[in-house]
Amino acid sequence: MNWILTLPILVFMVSFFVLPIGNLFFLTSSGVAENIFQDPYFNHVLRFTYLQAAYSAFLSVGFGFVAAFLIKEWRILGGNLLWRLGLLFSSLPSIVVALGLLGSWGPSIGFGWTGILIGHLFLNFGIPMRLIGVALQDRNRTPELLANSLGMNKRRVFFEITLPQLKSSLMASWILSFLYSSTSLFIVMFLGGGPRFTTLEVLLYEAVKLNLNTPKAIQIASLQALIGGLLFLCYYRMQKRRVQEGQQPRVNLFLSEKRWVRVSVSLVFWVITISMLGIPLIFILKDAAWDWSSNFTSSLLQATVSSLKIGFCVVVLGNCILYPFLHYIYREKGNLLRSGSVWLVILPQFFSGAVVAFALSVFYPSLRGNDEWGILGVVLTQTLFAVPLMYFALNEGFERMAQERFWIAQSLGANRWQRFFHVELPSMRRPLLLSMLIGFGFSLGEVVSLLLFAPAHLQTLSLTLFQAMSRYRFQEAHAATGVLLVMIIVLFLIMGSVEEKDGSGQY
Amino acid sequence: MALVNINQLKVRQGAFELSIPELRIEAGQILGVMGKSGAGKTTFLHALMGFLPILSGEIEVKGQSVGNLSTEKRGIALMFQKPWLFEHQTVIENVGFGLAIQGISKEARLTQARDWLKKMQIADLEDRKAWEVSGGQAQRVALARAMAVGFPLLLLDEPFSAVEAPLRKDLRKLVRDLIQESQKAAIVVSHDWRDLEELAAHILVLDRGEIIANETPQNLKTHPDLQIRSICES
Repeated sequence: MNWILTLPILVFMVSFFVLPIGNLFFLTSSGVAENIFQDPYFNHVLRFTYLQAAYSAFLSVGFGFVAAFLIKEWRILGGNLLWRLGLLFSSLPSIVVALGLLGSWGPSIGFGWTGILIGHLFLNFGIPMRLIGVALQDRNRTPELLANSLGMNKRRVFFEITLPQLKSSLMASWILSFLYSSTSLFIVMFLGGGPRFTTLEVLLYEAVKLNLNTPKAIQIASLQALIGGLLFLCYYRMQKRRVQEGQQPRVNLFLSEKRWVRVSVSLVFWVITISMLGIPLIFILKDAAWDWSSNFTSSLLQATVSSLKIGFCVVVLGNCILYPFLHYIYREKGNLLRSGSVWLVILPQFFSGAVVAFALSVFYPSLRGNDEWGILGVVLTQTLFAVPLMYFALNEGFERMAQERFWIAQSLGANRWQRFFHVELPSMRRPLLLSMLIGFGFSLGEVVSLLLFAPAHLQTLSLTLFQAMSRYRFQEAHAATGVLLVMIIVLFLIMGSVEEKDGSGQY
Repeated sequence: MALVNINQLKVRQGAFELSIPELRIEAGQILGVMGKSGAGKTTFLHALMGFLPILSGEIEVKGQSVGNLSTEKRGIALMFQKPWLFEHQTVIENVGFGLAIQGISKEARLTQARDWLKKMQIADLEDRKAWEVSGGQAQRVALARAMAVGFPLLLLDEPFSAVEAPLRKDLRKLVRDLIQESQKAAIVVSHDWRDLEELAAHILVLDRGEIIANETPQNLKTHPDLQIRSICES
């Protein structure tokens, strides 16, 4: 009967993800969707979407690789800070990044290709940096040392031995960067600068919100969903391979022995990082402080409260469906279900927010724009996307929990419930807190679900920011961004301290 | 009557089968278990604890058949090589864990736990968090926790192998004295001959799931069978 614990997430995923997405494909195949492939403009958008995503992914992986290499191999000054900042940059809402880049670089950023590529680099470089960094750290160094001792020079060692070991992490991070770049909405919308630089995601948004062309939207969303599914399959294969990579000695072959070289490279890298990534962040805070007006205080306070309420619902719902499921696969079924069940949880991450929210609104039309049910639509969509992120924190907690501790408790007379309350829950306090912070952070910056489902009276920080930017009310936008950013930075700092304090597993 | 009686015990784990025809442990006595890797030591402990179902046979502890009871109802306390303390709790809360599970009042629990900490010579650590104590201290806390629950049988799986040599000797003496004093029984699995020589009244030597010897340490040292002597010497 314990399998009942898997029901909440199964029911949730099937009802609010599998069926709505399946319905999109069904509508497309049954001829409801508009055949847009004959439209030359659509074909241009299609090409541009994936071309810019590919370039953005190459740029992010390139920058992320250099950063990972300098941090893990060269141990550059401030490497740990950059390692953490990568995570912060990736967790910033894209609309905030768009505003930051506009604020710091102004029109000189160059709308179109340049703006889009820099925006995506800003948002995505942290993912390859961390994935490749972990692979670099865990790789098997023995063949490198052996080859070097047999006379192979460092350049050849790097290209012939090190790089092949990083192949799967490089490919996995490219796929993720490609996926996020192809489905990003606000970077393209605000930094693209016109119809020539539009992507499928923007086209979908326009079809749903501005042109109210549902058949066209269904066609675009189906295509996006199909590509998301394919990318997920590729990524899943890469991840499987990456886990099998080895780990071993800690001798560093590529570390430069000359201190001045290390210092100079560190400085150059930091100058690039600060000017590309740090300055926009500083400008956001500066503009927020300068443009603050007491007129905004009450509306922003109200928006903050709404954001907090929605975030709270997302975190509670996310944990209520995720925790019993993970408890079941780790505590009841051992390893049996683990590898096969992960896909179910992380799958939504491979679909764009606009596609999922639109699919949900087509399948459950009463959720859309409805005063009573609209908020439910927002919470459901945000939960679908928060769950994969929360999963990583909770999963790590469950992974760390040793079976022996439960055996000890059982041998001391503790029954199932006592083991749950006295052993499992206390050990999961930090992962639970971390998962809540992550879910909360995501919910704070999410806009797409609000655009589709939010009732007219609902104002959140991210929605306020979007509306202010769309209406060129930059003062208000800066003020909303400031509050949003401060909240995200606070969450990030709390997350950092929670992770640091976690010294469990010693005894 | 012996405190622990095992009769015709058979356990299967995959293709491996463990068979213990007869075994008795008196109150205050420690039984050592030795054997090469794959001999069946862990299977034996897991079967006693109820982590593995038994195929046939009988396990009696203090006159009660426990073979078909769930682990928590068997009255067998367990201790591993690693202390596996509950890290969210203090040292004294760890020691009182089993007593709390039994529903004993907080005051009585603290009094008993303090007594055990004194016996283990770590009374000054009671308010420390579990992760704040050293490896040797943690092992003493784990021992106190297993003893404090008051169960008649204690299973110790490689209990000293992670402890440094000088501490190891102290712990061996402590375990021997406590088992004798409390008139409980204990089964100690160890690869280290010195552990078992000092602790156990009898040593069970397992090989491929069968008992190949059940002798006193002195007899094992001079056993005519070379294979048995080699296991002890290794």
